[in-house]
Amino acid sequence: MVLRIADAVSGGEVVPVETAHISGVSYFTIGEYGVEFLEFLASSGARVSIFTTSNPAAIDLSGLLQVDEKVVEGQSRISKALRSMGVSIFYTCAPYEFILTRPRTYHAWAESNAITYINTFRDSWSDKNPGPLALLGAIAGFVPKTALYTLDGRRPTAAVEVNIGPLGPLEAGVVGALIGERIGSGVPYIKGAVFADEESRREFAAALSTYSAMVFAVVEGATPNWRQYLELADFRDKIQISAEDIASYVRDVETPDVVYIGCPFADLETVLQIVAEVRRRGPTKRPVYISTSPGVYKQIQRLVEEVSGYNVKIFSGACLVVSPYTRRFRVIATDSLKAMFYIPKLHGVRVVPCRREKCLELAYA
Amino acid sequence: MLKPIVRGRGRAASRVVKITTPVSLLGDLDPERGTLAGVDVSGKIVALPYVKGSTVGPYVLWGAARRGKAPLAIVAQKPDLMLISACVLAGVPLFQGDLEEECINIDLESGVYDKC
Repeated sequence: MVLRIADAVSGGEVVPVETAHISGVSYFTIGEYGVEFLEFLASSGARVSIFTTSNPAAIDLSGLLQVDEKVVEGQSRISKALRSMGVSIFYTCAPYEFILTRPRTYHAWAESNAITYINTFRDSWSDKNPGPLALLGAIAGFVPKTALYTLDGRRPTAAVEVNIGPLGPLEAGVVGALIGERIGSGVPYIKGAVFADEESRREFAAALSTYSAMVFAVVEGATPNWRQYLELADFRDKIQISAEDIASYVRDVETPDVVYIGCPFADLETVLQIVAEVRRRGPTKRPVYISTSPGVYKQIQRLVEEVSGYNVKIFSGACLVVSPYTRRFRVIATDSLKAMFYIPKLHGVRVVPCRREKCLELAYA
Repeated sequence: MLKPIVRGRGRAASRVVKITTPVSLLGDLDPERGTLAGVDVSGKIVALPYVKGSTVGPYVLWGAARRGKAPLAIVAQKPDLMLISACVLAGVPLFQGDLEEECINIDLESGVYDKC
């Protein structure tokens, strides 16, 4: 199948990969036929030949998000099939947190925010390998040699100027979404963007790849080898993003019933910042849900227990995008543009954007 | 003639459903009802610009195919890796090009077509 896909996309050429990260492992998103596909592969004796990790599931690891029996059973069939194929079931959408990919190495990843993150901030090369292709590539050890696995295919095609100060998570997400919507495809070369923290980089990567087909941007001063990319650039489009563009996204918001942080999964610093704020101010009026990776969760387990008494629910291995638990809510406030895109489509729940501080204000309002 | 990307077999006559905005297979494609962005595409030829969004897309198209609700063929202006993987997995022929909303006779292997 990898070769058949390669025939269609790269004249049959393939490229060996060091790691793989697969998506499509939540029972909620892949459903019964996705499970059957994984079980079919597993029962045929397939095993991965490189280090392979997996995306979040429909159920979190501590059982905070209660879902019905059918989902629990489907999820456990998925885990069993993946485990028998040798996949490291890490249930994270931020595998770059612990897989420190090096510049100019090849990978077969399938989670769009993660692909964009390593392409953009590490110059590690991965194309958007859809869930099944990343898994098939992990088994084969190679994937089709598509454009993003060649220097020529990574040539910047659009000049983007960002005239705003350091971008916090929400602003970084809006910038990613605006670039995505305005350019759509190609490789943006971004001048003037400064990301305030790790969470901002994650939100940018997630938004760019959610609002367009793009999974790579060159950020001047941040992307390794950016000078070489600038020399290669062949600009066909030119756009500017201003503070007014961002303001048009961040309107007055209606009152949510919950606040959600952690799409992509929140890093340790973000979780600790929120925990510190809540410890200072006391229990929130509305629940604050924070999804993080199992690795971060394990490090702060004692804090998780402590802040659960403050109405802050930290969980790992799942998120509100891929869990049907989300359907019990009416309006969710979040600083994630990716969550803002998918939650209404997948769960029919309204989502309003807010800066992290504003989101917390809403939790206390 | 359309450029074949994932070849199918045989000939078919079908109405073309044209979708003018990029779609996400996860979220926009309903595998139970065979609708894409709210439009019935089951057993029809779908013409679209390109797909965007979640990499879970191929399983959703595969799911639609298993339910007999997949399009007969997809014609995309810019087919990408995700759409190609989805079509290989789901067994849906894929062509590069553009079509208007009309009835066509098409050779699913070569992409040669004419009006009904």
